Amino acid sequence: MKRNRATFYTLNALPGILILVVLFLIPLFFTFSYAFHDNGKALVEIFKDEYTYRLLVFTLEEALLSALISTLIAIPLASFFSKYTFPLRRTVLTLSGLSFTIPSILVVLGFVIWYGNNGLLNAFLMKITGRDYTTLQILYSFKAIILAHVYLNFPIAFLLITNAWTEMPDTPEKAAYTLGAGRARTFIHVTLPRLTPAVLSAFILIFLFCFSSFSIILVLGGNPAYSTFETEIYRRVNINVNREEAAALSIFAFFITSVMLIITSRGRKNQRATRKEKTLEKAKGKTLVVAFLLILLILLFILPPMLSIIYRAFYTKAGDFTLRAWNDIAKGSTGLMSTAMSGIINSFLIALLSSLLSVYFGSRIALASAKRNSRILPVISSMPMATGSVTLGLGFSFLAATVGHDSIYFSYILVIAAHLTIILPFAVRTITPGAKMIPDSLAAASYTLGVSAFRTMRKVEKPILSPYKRKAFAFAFALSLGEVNATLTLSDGHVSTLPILIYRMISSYNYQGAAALGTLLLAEALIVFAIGEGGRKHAIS
Amino acid sequence: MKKALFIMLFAFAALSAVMAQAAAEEDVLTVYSYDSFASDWGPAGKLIPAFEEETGIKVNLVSAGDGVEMISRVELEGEDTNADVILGVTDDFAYRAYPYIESYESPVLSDIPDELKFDPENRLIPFDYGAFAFVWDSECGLDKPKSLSDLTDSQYENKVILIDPRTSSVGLGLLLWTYNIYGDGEEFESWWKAMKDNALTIADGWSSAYGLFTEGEAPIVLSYTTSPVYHVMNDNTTRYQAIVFPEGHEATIEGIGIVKGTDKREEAEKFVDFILTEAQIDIAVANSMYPVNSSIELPDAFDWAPKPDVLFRSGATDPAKVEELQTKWLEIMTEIN
Repeated sequence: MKRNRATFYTLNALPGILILVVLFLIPLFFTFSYAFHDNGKALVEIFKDEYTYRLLVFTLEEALLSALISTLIAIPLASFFSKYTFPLRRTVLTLSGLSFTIPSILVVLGFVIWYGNNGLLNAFLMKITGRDYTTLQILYSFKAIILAHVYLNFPIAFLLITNAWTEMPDTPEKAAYTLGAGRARTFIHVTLPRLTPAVLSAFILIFLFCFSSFSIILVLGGNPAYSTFETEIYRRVNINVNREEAAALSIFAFFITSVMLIITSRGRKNQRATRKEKTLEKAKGKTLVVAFLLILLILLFILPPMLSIIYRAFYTKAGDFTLRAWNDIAKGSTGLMSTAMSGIINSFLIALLSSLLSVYFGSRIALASAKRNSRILPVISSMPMATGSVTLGLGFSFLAATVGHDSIYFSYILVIAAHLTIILPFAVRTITPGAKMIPDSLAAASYTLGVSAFRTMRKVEKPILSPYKRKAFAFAFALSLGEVNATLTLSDGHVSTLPILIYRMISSYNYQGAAALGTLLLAEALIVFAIGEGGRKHAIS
Repeated sequence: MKKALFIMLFAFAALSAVMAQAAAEEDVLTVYSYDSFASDWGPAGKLIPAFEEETGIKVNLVSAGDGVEMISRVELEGEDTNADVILGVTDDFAYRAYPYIESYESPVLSDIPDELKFDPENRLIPFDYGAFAFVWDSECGLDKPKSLSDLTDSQYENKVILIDPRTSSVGLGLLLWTYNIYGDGEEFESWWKAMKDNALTIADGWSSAYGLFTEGEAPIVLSYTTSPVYHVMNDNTTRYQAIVFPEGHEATIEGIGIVKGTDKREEAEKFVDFILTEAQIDIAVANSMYPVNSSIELPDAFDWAPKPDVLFRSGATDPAKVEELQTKWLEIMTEIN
């Protein structure tokens, strides 16, 4: 009987895993197989090359540092946000998810417009100080890389940890205080162990993201010494066209990220949680002031680069107001308006479908891995994240060439499936901490009452997951909205989403038009998030 | 749960409606091209309807990613490829396309200058070309650099935006450009060493480099001789100018070719001829490149796209040599002084 129940959860997760295998693992293996041509000559060379290890050291350094700083900043903020309720709390949480939707080229532009040597921040400082030279030289250094990575990824840690912490009842802490334990001791011995799955989840996600980052590193780092694996893989794929070496490097990188994944996937199961949610305290007096200071701080960090993009959509570099970019979109000679409109609709529908599906499959995978205390399931489902966009792109182009189809309908399905593969790891990682908090005793009680495993899952366990699923949906939606490469490769360019249009605008020199499209993208994400938050409890269950 | 299902069904329905308008057709000429060509923004938005109307031949324009991805796709598909024509193979990757395409002695070939024809067998026929150049902001208050070696002057410290030859074809263009002028010895090394100080950053690709430039982060950027055309036509300013160096410039040539064994040879030939004649102006303007057909008159804005006297065509550089230069470059640039 007991075994049957475990099988039920596994079967339940199977469709999601199957999609991953077909869409991701198979093309990936074909890609990797190149490394073994010629008796694995390329692989041997990569292993012997000293440069590979130099790359490894730098890549690990920037990824670990970015992940560490992001989580360290997030923990104290999350502790506050998961304890008190105050005005704008939800708004801030929502806004911090926005940075995902922006394609990296616009993040770079936003950063340059705001932090650049000739950027708005420096212009402002020059006005105050009366100096006529750059006051704050931030960009084009190692710290600029970390700043940009923290900017992009701190929201992951902030959202995941706040979410987990809010759902965590504080009775153990209260007991600890009663027993005379201090705040620090309680935090380290009582709170932190229970928070670990969420913190680790956030850490590893950020690590993986930064591990495969390269545009931001090259542009903002300003020095070719700052090169990651991904730079080299990209070079082998696109410039030197050496698939064997590209595959060899990918395998090497994949091996390292997988090791990281396995280390951090220790199934730590928590039996202490109960269904009782913690009630948030209302912030008053001093705490309210602290709340507003924190909000101000967070907003000052996350908003300026995004606002800079919106600013550029309306103002020229010289500071003159203009609607030209909007006119370009609205009535270009080739009917750009209809293109922009279909871009908005395409982006919305693809993101909506793929993120709903990812939450659907993701919650099943998360439940199964929590129930079986599985270490392999989270690893499998995180693999697309561990692969890096260039390798993924190679796999997808392989897929596109194999499938060889003519129907636009099929293009859409492929694109949605590809998005699903890319965002599924996020959904699983976001939901897993929630699934782990469900005590076995709860399901056991239900089984004792003669309720089937299926009904128990639906009526008892799923409702506990729903706040996690909401967050997962928002993440997944934002990620899918910003996706470019897979969409391009798999749709033969017949499916235009907003980020793709942004790249096309830029390749025809129209940076202001790109900023205007970026503004539309942000607006679209914001509206969907707002609706999602509005429907709170039962929006996606 | 039910709600989610409902939303999904609704979205599927909406998607089908969107898709219905773009159903694929049977008897069509399939053309592979890179994304910025195929998009509505690119030349295709105007050209394809014009061609279809004129000849009655339907065209299915497939955007196969960027130029390299396009060739990779043809390689992967091999003989089963759907493509009848491939458009936008640059001279440096031509060697990879040759096994899959066949010669075409187009009547238009006589209008194309010989120095642009990079394939003696005319499998790939050039349809546009450009030259890499440094573009500068003429109002930045610095002296105008007059030669490539001028750029190493200390007054340009942190004033130049370069592009990485490992991640960008434009960046690679500069690497080969310096190789053509300085060789791979000491001169090459000292030029790049000096540029370590003068480069503000080495961007991953042209898009971010040029974005930094228009945001005023540095007054000099690696781009094309034709870049000022956009600013003249759209911003009505001649502030940004391309500088022609007497040492010569690195060229990049884009070609079009007919896929081997196509059963639409006749249609494919018509398409190639169309690209080489009527389509030339639109392609030149949209791609910011020069047309190859010497009988074409360009808009006035192209007066601001100076044609260099000396052009290097490194398309034929041995891939092994390219890799050697990249490695050397990386050593120079990451070496601690």
